[in-house]
Amino acid sequence: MRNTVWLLLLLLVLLQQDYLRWWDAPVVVLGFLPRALAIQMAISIATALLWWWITVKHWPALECTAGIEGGPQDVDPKRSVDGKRAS
Amino acid sequence: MIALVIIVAYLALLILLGVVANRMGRGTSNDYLMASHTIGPVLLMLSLFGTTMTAFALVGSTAEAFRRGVAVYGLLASSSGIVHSACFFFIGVRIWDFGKRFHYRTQIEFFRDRLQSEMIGVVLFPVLVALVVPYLLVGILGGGEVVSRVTSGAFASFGWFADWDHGVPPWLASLVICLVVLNYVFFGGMRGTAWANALQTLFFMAMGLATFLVIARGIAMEAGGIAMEAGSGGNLMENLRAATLDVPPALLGTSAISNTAWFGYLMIPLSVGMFPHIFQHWLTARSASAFKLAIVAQPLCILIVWAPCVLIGVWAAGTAVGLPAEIRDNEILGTMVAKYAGPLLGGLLTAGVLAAVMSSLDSQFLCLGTIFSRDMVIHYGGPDRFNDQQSIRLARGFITAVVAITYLLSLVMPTGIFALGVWCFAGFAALVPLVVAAIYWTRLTASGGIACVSVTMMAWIALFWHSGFGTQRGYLFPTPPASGETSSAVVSILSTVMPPLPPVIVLTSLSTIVLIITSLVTTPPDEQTLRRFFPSRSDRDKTAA
Repeated sequence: MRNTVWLLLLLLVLLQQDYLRWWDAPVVVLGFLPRALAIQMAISIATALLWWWITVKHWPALECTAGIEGGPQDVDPKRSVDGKRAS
Repeated sequence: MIALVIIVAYLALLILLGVVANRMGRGTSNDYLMASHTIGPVLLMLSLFGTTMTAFALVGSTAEAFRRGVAVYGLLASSSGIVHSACFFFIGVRIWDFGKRFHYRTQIEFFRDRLQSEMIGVVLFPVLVALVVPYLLVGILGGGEVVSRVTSGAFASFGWFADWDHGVPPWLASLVICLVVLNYVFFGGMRGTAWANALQTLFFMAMGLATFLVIARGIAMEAGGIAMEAGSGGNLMENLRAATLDVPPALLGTSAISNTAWFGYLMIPLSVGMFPHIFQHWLTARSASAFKLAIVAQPLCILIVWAPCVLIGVWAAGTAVGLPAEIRDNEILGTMVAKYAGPLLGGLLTAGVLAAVMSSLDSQFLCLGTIFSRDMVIHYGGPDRFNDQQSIRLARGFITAVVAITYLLSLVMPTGIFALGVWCFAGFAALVPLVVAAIYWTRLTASGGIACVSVTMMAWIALFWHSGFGTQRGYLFPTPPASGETSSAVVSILSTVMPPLPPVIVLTSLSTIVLIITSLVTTPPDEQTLRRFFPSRSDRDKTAA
């Protein structure tokens, strides 16, 4: 599933790049919207949907929330976790 | 004069906002610089979006669409939607995690700690400041030009400013913008900046849409399709059709843009991954989940702002509008607003453009102060040498100095906003391999990072100079010399072994290669550091147990 998501993201990039110039012609849709612009706007909407899916299904596990450092207030910013001072 | 009054009222509102934010602040440097890490999803989303949109998005995109057509949306808006969200997801969330665990407030603190190197801070500080300056210039120039255009005639009865059609001169408008932003940044700090960003983002999105509709109606009426006296202005679809009717066909397609340029522009939005002010905004988030809304909404917000601006730009090129081809890039949006919106709406729309400009300037101002006070003054002076109030005052002093220098540069800068923005973004984009490697690559070394930053900056300066300081439109490197011209030996040799490429591709490729090779040939980082930043699964299990 995770690979499918990244493949979809790659596909969006390829569509956005329009290497084959599928929507190059100066055609207008709805009487006012240039087709090239309409397609790119659709890509923006598809991007938002894909990122929504990614944030819902593939949100990263973070060390901070895993509690590995014991919480932010416990750590001296100038010291590493073993107590030695960072150079 | 009405437009001028509205603009002045809007600026006064921002000053008031800074004062209110100041009263709600906790008076500590952590609150001033990081808003005590209390920024929730909505405010974070609006702040990040407002910060990434500047005069480049409004004034620059309109001008570029006037010249190159609707392809500009694909070049920078849809690509930004993909790349910005990717930067927030892959870089921003991880940086927030490190920041929360190790209490970073600036990029340099992160890199110093991650690479266990003092030198990376010494090298990175001037580079970040030098690259932020062109970005500040984009905002200062854009804001000044738009105000000047929209207020033309305001001082006719006084006989003032005849050289600027009796409007506010750009130099004066830019100066006032700088002073207002400085004011609310000084008073409100990060909290005031986040609030102002949110207010301004909502305002410029609403005003952008209103501009679009009003200009469509104005062009339709001017084209004679709809009677102005009737007051109806026709329905929306009729107006939009009439506005698009006589746009040159060449501006409706994408054929003018090469595949190389498309790819180059896909890399430009990567710059978000290394903007120091975005980095600071990431650290203000209350939780990692606060990022989710920003990641999803960024492409949609970009669409809402960019699509109308791009359409206004191509409409401006139509014969019904009749703008002269030699019009200066930075004047196109202001001229359209002045021509088709009445003084009341014109003032509101200009305030919307200023909102976009200032919502970036404020974060950049604050960030400059933060990196100066944290990475230079406190780091080298010692944490006990200055109290909170003193460090805030030092930050403010540095901000004022940089803004003064930038303002003086804006008075002599000949480059268009779009070109200047692209150069600035190219420099930041070329530094993104460093932050990606710092987060995901255990083999990155301090020498690799230092070499990456140094070589990138030297190459950026060389290319910027070679392009005539950004004045050469569509500059590629290496550019083969035209017949009868001579070029340097380096350029001649390079032009035989590589194709002409946009600067962002050249710089990013170079920085990646230098970073990887230098890291691989130098001593690997110590295990202790790696365990802190890349705790293995077994470490985590042990801790959990």
